[in-house]
Amino acid sequence: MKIRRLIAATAVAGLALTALAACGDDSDDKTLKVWLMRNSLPESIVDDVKKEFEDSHDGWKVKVEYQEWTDITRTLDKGLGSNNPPDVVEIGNTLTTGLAAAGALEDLTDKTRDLKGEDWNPAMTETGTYDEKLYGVPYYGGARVVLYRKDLFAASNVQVPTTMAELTTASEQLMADNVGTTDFSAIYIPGRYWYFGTSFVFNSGGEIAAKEGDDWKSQLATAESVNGITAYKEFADTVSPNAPKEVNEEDPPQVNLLGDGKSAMIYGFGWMIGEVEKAHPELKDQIGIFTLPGDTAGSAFPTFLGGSNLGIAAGSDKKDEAYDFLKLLTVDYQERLVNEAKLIPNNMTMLETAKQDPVLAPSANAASNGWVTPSSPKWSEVESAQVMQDLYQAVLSGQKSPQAAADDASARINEILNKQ
Amino acid sequence: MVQPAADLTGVRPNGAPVRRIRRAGALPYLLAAPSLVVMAFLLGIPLLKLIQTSFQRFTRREFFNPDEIVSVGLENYKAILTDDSFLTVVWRTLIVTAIMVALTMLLGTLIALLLERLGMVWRTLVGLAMLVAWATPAVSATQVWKWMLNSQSGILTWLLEQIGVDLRGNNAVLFDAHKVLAVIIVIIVWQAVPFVALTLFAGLTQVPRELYEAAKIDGASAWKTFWNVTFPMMRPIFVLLTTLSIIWDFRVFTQVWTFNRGGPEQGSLLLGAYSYFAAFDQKNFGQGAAVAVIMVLITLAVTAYYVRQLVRSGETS
Repeated sequence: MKIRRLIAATAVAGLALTALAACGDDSDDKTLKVWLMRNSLPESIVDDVKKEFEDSHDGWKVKVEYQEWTDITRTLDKGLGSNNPPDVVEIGNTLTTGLAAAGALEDLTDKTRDLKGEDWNPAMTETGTYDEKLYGVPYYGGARVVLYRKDLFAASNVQVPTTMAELTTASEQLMADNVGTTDFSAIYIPGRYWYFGTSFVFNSGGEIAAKEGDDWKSQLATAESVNGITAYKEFADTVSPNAPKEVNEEDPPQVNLLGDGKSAMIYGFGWMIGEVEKAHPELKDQIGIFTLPGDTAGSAFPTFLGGSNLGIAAGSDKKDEAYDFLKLLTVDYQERLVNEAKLIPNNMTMLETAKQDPVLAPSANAASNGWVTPSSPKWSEVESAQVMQDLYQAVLSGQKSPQAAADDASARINEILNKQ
Repeated sequence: MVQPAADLTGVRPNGAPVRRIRRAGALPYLLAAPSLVVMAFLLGIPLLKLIQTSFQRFTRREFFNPDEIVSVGLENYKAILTDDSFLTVVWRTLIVTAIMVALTMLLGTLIALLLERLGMVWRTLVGLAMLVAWATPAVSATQVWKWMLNSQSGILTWLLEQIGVDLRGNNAVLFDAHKVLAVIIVIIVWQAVPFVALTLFAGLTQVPRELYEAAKIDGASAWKTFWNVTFPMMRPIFVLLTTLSIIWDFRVFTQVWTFNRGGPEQGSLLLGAYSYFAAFDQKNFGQGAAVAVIMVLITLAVTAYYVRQLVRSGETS
């Protein structure tokens, strides 16, 4: 009994302490709370932005908190819905409209001119816009490129391809020369890599969904989209016949396959070079990148335009200061974002400059032919239900024909996007 | 029948009967009060909040704008009860739960009987092995099973291949909702058996030896001895363990979500994960709450049955 009392008493005391600790939480009047995604910016830039803000705002402090991509939807909901929300928040661009529609973000439409919005990348602006109002200010973009093993290219005597057809031919050569490697892929395409498959949909003139009146209508089952899905299947069967069909590109991480020589190419991000070189020091300078080529020489294949927007919490009580900070990152520091962080800028003028930067050029070129997800606020629910992943898995594995899989995915998308 | 099994719970390990305190006054209640208060706060308030939410229109919009929350009566319940995908999940959950509980009880019983017949060393070894399975956190355990069943590098995939079961390429586990469910059943049963086996073993040690000797003299087979001596003596423990297993297995969430997030195509979602999926992935907290309330009701029904059984077995003693 004594022990039980002790446990109960400890529990009560413990809870009381927790409550007290919660009361003592910071919510300083002059502290600006900023949420950024982890590793999105080099420390040096963050420090300089903080310093510049604190210097120009007497007595103010900036507290930057880094968030993880895993389960980010729930993290943002919890943070923005709390009593002490972050004042400035970085939001993955596919998630912005959902938060805007739910009323979690401040309407920034009348700031567009002040933020030099006329020069923004239109695709990025679209991701931050809901109901013709701006809630997410374009911050930076990200576009996938092809990372390749220079040593394997040299061994097979293939050059960096400039068209899709050349890429396919080069891949056939690589597949033939590496038959000795178990489960080798010329380009690693796991079955649930939906960003890759959807690029083929856009390349053949299709799209994911379009708004018709008040309703969203999936466009995946149209002739154009199905042509794209069919072309994707043929491509994957040629360049990546052995890749597992039940996983996505992160599980196992595709950089591992490139590093281990299980794949001559992957469709990933430029910064992944660093990850490969860290795990495999012997591959230093052996990893190159190029833009996924389009059907004609010099063109870029459509690529998902990822990246982030910056928003201000509707529940923030420091909106003016939050805006000043947001402006620093989206206007004043854009050039350093490009030059030092090697990110795709939010505006077209700097995008042209970025195309001259040897490191940034491949992704800057890819970004000029970028596609984005439907601007429906319910899109993140389609992503959560993994509809697109299921579609490509079913097609690449041969479980369903492209048309049948597209019909099934369309039905699910229509249901989710149009439910009450 | 001498001393039916109610005594199993009323006898201390040293054989001394539990002393009954008949006139203790308010003291026991006073002593229980702190924990009851904590329980009321930790369980009661969330439960009330859950019931309240299930009668409200509560989506992402209302989450950010609490002043827009409106009561919608039975709307959420109507929506899920007329939703085919919900009914599919209910049936799937009932079937899977039945399989899991049956397997858990069967294997638990067999292992308990085995433990009773083993010598000290082997008994300790088997007990330890089971404790390890039991003590592994569900998330890690599920992740390990997932690795072992990876279609290209999994060790189980390789082992099964040696005996002619192909889980590679298009036969991969994650491809097929039935296979995913089968693996989830294996993981759950694997982690549930230790508790059942050890508890049953503890019960077995309390069955008077004389009964077995008598059965032996009467020439009863092992099968008959089990059904006519062991099982009736241990009935309350069986009822308790079965009920607990039903409650636990019915609500399973972690393994389902960690293994494949209920996929492919939501084909391996069970009720617990479905509630989470509806609330947090599809952002309809009202409907997610309604699913959870229905689960609470079903669980209460099972618990009520169990309490009745316990009271009954108490009456017959």
